[in-house]
Amino acid sequence: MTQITDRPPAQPLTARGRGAASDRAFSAVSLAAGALVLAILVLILVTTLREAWPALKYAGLGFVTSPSWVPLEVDGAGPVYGALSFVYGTTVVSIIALIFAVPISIGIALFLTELAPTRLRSTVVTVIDLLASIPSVVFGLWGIIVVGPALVKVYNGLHGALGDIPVLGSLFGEPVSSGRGFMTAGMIVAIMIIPIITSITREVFATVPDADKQAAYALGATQWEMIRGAVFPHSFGGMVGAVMLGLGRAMGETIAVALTIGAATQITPNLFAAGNTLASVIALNFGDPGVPPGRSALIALGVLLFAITVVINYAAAVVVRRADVRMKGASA
Amino acid sequence: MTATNDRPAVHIDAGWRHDGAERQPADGGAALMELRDVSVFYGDYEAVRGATLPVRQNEITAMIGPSGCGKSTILRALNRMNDLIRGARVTGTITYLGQDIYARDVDPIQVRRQIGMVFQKPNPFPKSIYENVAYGIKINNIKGNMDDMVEEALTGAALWDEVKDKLKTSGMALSGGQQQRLCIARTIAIKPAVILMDEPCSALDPIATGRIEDLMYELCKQYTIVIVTHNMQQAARVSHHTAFFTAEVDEKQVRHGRLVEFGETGRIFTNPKDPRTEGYITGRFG
Repeated sequence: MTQITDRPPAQPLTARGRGAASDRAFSAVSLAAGALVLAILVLILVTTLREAWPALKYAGLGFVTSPSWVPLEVDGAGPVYGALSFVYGTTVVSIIALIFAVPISIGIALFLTELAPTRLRSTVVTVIDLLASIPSVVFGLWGIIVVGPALVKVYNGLHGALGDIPVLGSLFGEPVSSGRGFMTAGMIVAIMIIPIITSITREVFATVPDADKQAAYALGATQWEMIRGAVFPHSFGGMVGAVMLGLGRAMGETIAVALTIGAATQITPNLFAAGNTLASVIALNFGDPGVPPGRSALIALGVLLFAITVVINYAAAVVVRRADVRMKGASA
Repeated sequence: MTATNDRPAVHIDAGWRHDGAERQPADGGAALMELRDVSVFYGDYEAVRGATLPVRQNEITAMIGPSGCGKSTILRALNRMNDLIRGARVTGTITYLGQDIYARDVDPIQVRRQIGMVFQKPNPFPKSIYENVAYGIKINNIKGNMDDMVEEALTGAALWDEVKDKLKTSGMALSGGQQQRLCIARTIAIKPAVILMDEPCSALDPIATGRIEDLMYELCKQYTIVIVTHNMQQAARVSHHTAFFTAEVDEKQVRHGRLVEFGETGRIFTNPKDPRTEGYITGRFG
């Protein structure tokens, strides 16, 4: 038997203010780190806005409504800065990238979480992570040298087959001979964003409780019905988040797009035509921005891209919050 | 959630269910399912060894016993949920309407369509109340008016009055007891023949437990129920037949679940034949 010793007399509480000193130091450091991120963000916004201001003032509302971008003086007329065709290019390339990347990424993630044998799982994850580590300039060059020329034949085939159908025909128009255009850039970007979407959706799918899956199986669900009934509703927020991160990368992707999109300022439904995105225009023209305020105008494109990204992310957050309330109740 | 209190209180001692008049004759019900010498393995480990018992139609069959006695394992073998666990396998035969549910040509999805399951922790899908119930109906392609079928299932699970005005809100926003009844509604929506319940009340308070027990009693008029429970009073209150399992250590010092005794609930609790059963129900063991 252990000896039961007398407990020392009850001690009064010592007043130590608001927690131990170490806790206060910890919270101060964390706060500083958080504030630093915000400060950097504000600083970037302020300085780029200041740099962009001359061009924004010069172009006025036309900066976002005009499709015409002429950074030179032509016949005595001043330069024209209209970003609309680049906004269009960014949109088209991003949509193409998402259309290819999202189903593939979700498919890979489902394969990894629900189907793949454990041995295969780590191999596939490694390969996909490796894909993420390839520099984007390499993707761009591969796009120019290999993918573009190879795809021209496919584009020509599609154009030949579908070109005469009213709406589809305008989407699948005459390709550029080099193969560089919206479609090629979009597909290259798709490959680049697959790793990030895959790895996040995989993490999200892995958090679906077994109880939910078993509930579906107990109702006689097949594996696919279980995925639709239990995995997807549970993962909706995370999947949107993953797609948004992919979209952010797609919209901001610069060098790979600059190399593969063909550098043309135009708004055309033809997906095989050349174009430009906000990011690629900046990269391609920063060395030779034209007459003042050309440099400022390029920076203004960056500000515009930043603004669009913020708006889209905010919209996505609202969608996720509403869906969570609807599906998981107000607490989630 | 005011609606939860307008029903009679819990039957802590629901004697009316015990007396012979309320019960079906002890061996009158036909066996809908039969287990013959059923063992369940996880890899090389034999979790339950050689259980033989019938599951009679329109009855509540309770499985009781201490932790690790294999009662949940046996329950999950009844609708092939163990198939989902890597390395799990079943020997012996389990029949449903005379058909071996582990036969080569039997699809586990068809088995689960006829033999549904309610789990220990209420697990509604992260969807609306309506969608929770409609899910099983949709995937099983059951024809009919969806609204009517959802209402019927929720009514059958004694939940309709509480949720009829908020069918579009999330099933996860309900209280624990309501969630469990939603899970029961989801199960009966596809009209299985058998409902397996794996400690359905262990996460619930006594009032919610009482309501589920009342509901089970109603349900067994149309369904056949097998319930695993830690709560002996619950088994005594609701079940017609009781199977008592225990864990035994064999000569190699490995624990196996064993079925000790099966019989009419009243008899098991008042006049157990096996001393181990008696020890457990009188609280001397387990």
